[in-house]
Amino acid sequence: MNVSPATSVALAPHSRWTHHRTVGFGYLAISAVAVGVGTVLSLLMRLHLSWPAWSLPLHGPILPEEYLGLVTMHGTLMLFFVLTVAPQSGFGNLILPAQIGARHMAFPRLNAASMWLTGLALLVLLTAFFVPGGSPISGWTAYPPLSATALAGPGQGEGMDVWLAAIALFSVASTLGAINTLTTIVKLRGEGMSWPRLPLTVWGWFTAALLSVLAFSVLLAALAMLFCDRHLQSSFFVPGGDLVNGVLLQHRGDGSPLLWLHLFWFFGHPEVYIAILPGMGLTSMVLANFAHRRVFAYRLMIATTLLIGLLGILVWGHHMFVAGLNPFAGSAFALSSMAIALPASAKVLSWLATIWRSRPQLTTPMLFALGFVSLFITGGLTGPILAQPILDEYLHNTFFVVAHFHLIMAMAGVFGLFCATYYWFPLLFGKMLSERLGKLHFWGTILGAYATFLPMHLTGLAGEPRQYAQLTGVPGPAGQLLQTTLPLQNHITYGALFLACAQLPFFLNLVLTLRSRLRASQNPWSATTMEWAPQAADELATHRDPCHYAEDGVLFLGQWEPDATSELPPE
Amino acid sequence: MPPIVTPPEIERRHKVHESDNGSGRRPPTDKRTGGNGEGDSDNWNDRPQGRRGPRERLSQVRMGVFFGLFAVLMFFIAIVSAFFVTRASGHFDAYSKYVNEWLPTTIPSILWLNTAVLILSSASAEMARRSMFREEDVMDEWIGLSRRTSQRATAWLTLTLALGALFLAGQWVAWDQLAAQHVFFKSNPSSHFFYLITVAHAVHLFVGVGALIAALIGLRRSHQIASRQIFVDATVWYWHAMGLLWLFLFALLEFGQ
Amino acid sequence: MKRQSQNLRVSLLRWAWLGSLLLLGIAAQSFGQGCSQCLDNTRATPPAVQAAYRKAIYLLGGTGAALFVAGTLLIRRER
Repeated sequence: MNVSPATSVALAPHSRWTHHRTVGFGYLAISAVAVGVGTVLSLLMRLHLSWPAWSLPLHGPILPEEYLGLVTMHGTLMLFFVLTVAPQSGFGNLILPAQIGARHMAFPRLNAASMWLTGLALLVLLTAFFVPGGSPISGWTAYPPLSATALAGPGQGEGMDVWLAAIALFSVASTLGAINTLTTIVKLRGEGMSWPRLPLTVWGWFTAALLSVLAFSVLLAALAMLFCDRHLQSSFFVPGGDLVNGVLLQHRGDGSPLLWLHLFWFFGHPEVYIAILPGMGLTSMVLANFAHRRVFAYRLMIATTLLIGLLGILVWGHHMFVAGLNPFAGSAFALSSMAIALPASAKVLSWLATIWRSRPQLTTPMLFALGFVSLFITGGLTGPILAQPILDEYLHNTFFVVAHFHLIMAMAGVFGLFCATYYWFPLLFGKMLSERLGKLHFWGTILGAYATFLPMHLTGLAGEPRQYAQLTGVPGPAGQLLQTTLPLQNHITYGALFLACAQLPFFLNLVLTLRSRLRASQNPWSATTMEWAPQAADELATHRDPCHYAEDGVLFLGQWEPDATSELPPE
Repeated sequence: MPPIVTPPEIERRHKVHESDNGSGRRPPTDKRTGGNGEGDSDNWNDRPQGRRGPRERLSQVRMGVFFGLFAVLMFFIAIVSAFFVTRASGHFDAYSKYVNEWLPTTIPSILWLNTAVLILSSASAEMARRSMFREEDVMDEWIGLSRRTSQRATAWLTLTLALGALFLAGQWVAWDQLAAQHVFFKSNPSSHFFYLITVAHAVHLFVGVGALIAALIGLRRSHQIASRQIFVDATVWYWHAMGLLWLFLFALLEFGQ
Repeated sequence: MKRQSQNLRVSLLRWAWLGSLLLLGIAAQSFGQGCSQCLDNTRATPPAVQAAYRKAIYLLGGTGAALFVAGTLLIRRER
């Protein structure tokens, strides 16, 4: 009886290796490795900040350059290999074709190739730990001139080259994957799946893929130019007569680090939307599913998704308010950045209106979706603050910024991923994750997330700078100021450790569920989108918008049901 | 001319039987015409999305190529915007005089010739593409009477390949000539950009040459005329885009320094 | 009489709008904001370089936005 879409695997025309589920799981495996390493690195950073004298077993004390290496690798792993790969490529491949009523992706071989390229990029990046000099120390943003020469620090030689190679591979892989996603959504939608009927998750994937195509190639160009600066003595980003560690750089011409910032953030800002848009779409759908409601203002939500994407291209300057950007350009970028608050608030209002007085079923995926909304609001409220050039002048490079992007991008993104995992687990494995462990996992995670990242606002406001290897032992009033933040620092460290431990129920849940023999029913969440249709994709047609529920909240009509056979009110 | 009137793709089709679930809604053979027509009489609508007609796969690949070209365009736009900034940038020397080190690179005149060659190659590529879609010949080829379309396209594509290789050789000569004048990559900000732009474009053109070779192999090996059309069509669109891009880049280098 | 007062109110409203726009326009926020070092840096930059940056920003952002819009409009043709 359980003819889940997984059975269409046997019918698919392509081999197992190029099948989109294989590719999707491959992407998730890449992300799992990256998130594991990245989490360990972040814990090491926290431990070092709280107890600078603590020495890592088998390694010794963490040196300042090693701390910067931890910062760089943590950021690179998490942003590229977790937040970009898992929601967009991982779940995109696993769910997207079924959700639009297609049997496969448009270019299965290209798809598999980009997955393997991404894996190769991860491998290359991880070798940075082992090359002479260790991992690069210029952060995931790799600002020149320090990233443009090996003189700048121990990791800036081979470590930086490895980083460049890894990110270049990643850019190519992401572009190819995005082309595949876009073509699939445009061309392979099944019978009756018109644009307004597409679930909002698909709109999120679509917008993110479009942004990927535009942004990653700019990054690739910037990487190529940085490579030339490093090895061919050009000066795209190196100012004339620049001294690094007392050595005059032999480069011709007057380059400008500001140019790198422009190119990098032209990529970097769309990148954060690539990370979060799929989660926003999923949140809309999951809230509606468990509230048994239509998504409030569905068309408007499609429009805001696209608008966020479009505005996301035009706001990159707000990362450069204090980097020497012309202040008038800063004003323009501040305006466009604050304009994003409009579609973002519209989204939040739609989420709240969807669940308003609906007596939602508080299942684990629903809890994680609600957690996403909560984190999106908390993290989002500091956005307009940082978009003000004058406020940013004080707050830039403090932990306030760290708190902002960890709440709105990192934690919200991770909550989106957990929501996706719990929500689609029955679809992917035919088994239900335990609700009890899931709820434990949720409450632990949200408590840990807020305990870790909310106090960072306070230490940031107190003036604690980012990327400083050590906060103790600083002479003068600055040292006194940092001293006052130390109790909170320790609290943050304990919070981070708690947050990491809060993931244990999740792993326990995975192991127990995969070992149990209990099968889930075919559509356990009463979901209405196409991936839950009982038939194989061949015989499917879409007949209506998603999220059709009766007033009593029990009966529902899937997108795949041919006619209203029940007493549901007509549209 | 082969005596059998059954092209290989129809024989192979019988083995596939992908989705015949016995519901009886589908015709027993997944007959697919290879021609240009939309095949209305065959009731393509009964088929799953993605295999409704001979054009479906073609338009998918085309769309993929176009999205890929978006990315390529952004790649070069990033370089060109850096070009504008660096061209204007300078520094203040010890006497607070503003010094701009940019010395325009003399563009070797062979680039004009190369440009002409690239335009010609684009024209011959277009001939190849058009010949793949000439309806009568395609029908002939589909029923196995001749392989005239593929042969003609092979000839035109080989010409394109030769001209493309000539362009790349010409670029090499240009770099050589500049080197003879002691203009290297690292000489000057303008030469950084000259080499970066020409080399990046040459790399993209190498991809195009690879695609041309793949298309030529595909024309020989592939059994389905629909696939052969896709090979040629996608390659040629990419080739056109690279030609157009070169015109802009060349204009920028020649007149924009 | 009533008509006249209504006219007056309309024109007053118009003036209020214009005035508030003017006030907004001369507010500190609508001038270059940001660090004073950036302002100094900009003032020390020749206008040609500033123009070049402006051009580059327009080119990059304009092309990106145009391609995004083109991508979304393109798909409207597909059913």
